[in-house]
Amino acid sequence: MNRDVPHNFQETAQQGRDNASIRPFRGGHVEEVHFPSISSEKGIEFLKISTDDPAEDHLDECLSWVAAGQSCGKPIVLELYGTLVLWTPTRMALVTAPRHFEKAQQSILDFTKTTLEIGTIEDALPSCWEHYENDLLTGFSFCNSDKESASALANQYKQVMSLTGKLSRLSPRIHLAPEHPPTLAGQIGERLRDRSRLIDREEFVSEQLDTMIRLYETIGQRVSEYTLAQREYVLIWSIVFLLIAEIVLLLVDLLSTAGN
Amino acid sequence: MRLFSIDILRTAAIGMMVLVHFVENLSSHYSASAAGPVSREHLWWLPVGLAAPIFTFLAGVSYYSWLTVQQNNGIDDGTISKRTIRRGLFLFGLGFAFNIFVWLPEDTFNWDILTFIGSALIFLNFIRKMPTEALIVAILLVTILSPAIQIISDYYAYWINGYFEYDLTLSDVLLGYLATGYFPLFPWLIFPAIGFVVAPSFFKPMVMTSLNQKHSRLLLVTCLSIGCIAASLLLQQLTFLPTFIYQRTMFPASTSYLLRAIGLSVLSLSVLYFVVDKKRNEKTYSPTHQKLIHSFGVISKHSLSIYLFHHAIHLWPLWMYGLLTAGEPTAHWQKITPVFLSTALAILFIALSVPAFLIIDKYRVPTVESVMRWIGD
Repeated sequence: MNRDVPHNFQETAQQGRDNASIRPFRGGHVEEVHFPSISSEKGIEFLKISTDDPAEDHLDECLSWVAAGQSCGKPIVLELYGTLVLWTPTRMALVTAPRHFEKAQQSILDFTKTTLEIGTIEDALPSCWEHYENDLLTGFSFCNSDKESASALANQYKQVMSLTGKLSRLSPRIHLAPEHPPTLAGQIGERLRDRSRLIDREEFVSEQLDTMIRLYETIGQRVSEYTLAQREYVLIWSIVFLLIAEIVLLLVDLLSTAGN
Repeated sequence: MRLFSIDILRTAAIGMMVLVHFVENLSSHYSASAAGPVSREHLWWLPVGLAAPIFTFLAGVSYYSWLTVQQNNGIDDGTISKRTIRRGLFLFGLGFAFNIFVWLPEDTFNWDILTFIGSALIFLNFIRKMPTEALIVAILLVTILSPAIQIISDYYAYWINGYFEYDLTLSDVLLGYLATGYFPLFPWLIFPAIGFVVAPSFFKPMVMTSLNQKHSRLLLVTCLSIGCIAASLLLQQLTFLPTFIYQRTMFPASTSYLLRAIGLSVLSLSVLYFVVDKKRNEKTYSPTHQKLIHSFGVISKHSLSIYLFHHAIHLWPLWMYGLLTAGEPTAHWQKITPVFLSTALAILFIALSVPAFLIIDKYRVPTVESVMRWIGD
């Protein structure tokens, strides 16, 4: 039983299946799976072969089908208790006995969704780093009277925090505890996470986001201090202007008296 | 950062200035006029009192634009201050040279517009980092205090027959600079200061998120300008107030005059901005429009040179002719030509300025602007 998978996650995986379009394949069929929560233009093709034949018999045809998907890098290949799983970010294949099929399929979909979500966060990082480099000086001092830059910094902070939030929500799925007693679906998920180095990737992303958050928290503090100082300046300058006005009046009075 | 609206408005201001100066200096007391001696009141069509406020207001707007370019180019704060002060001092010195050579040495300390703009630039350098709210307080203070200062300084004692007359004493010279001259700091400082305060509404925001904020600020500025005009009209009805407040006079710059001039300056820029800059797409303009826009750009770019040159071209011959015929340079001042001739001369001068400055630009002949940049930058 895959009891550790959250309910809503199973629901999303179900939605993924709901959005599928089905094409027949030798001994099985291909579905195009979409995850509505992840904005991806193209869906993932999922080859499903539910059979009692040995899985090894389908290895070559599955490999060539996955390779035809023009996915970068080698696919992850798992052969586990008579079940064959091939996974790439664009194509995946499952060959297993009908009695295990449903749970194995769900386990693969769960893993795919987690991987895609962490991939989205990783893709957003380069642009965040660009901003980070540009905003470095602001972390030391904020002296721009232009409010526009403050709102741009606030947006950047918001984006980084949003990515951190997403990563935090992903963490329980990445660090899923091994099931006891072990199940095929649990083993598939565990091996896939292990082979795709999800834990490492999560750690790297987390470290990068931590660095950015440190900067933007400091900037937030600087902007807040600057805003408070500006408010005080208004009062101080108003007093200064009143004093100058008094001096000017006295000066004009003095000059006109001297002139007369 | 160049806005067509600013070019058009500055061209209009310099055009009005040339027209007013030609007519006033050559014809305002021309006795052969059919209507008798003409005066400011008779020449109802003469746009007196509009050009200087617009010109000084645009000085503040342009300073903001220049400042933004400097900051975007990574110029440090100290250098920006040095450049501003050098430019200010250059204009201040140029103003004195202009007074001596054009208005003759007895008018050295008449505190004309160039000395004022020079001072205003230095003032803007000091206020450029201040919070906008503090600047608004300062503008209100100057506006409110000015009538009091004019009363205390006995303004009318320095104005004889509509012209500023002073003794060459320290008190008169300083009073002229502060309150009684042609363009004293009080209240004229409010024009460049307002230009500087409203300028951010007209320039592109750095980030798209503040676009809505910019639009609402622009709307607020436009509404305030209309409010200023309405307040000016209302003040003119309150005749129980001192004349420095209700009477619409440029010399002294009364409160009602100030409100009207501020309102018109800001409103003109807002309207031009909405009409010209918001729909800006040069490809859709016809060749005639493009030429016209280019001409406005040329006049705007060389407005300082035009300001100096138009005085020299009509006053120096006048002084020489007076010296030769009557032994007194100002003998024919304000009474040498009929109004239509001085008007025609002013229009001809403006029309010829464009090709003249195009040739000057083509051959890279140094102009006052280029000298100012050379010294300032």
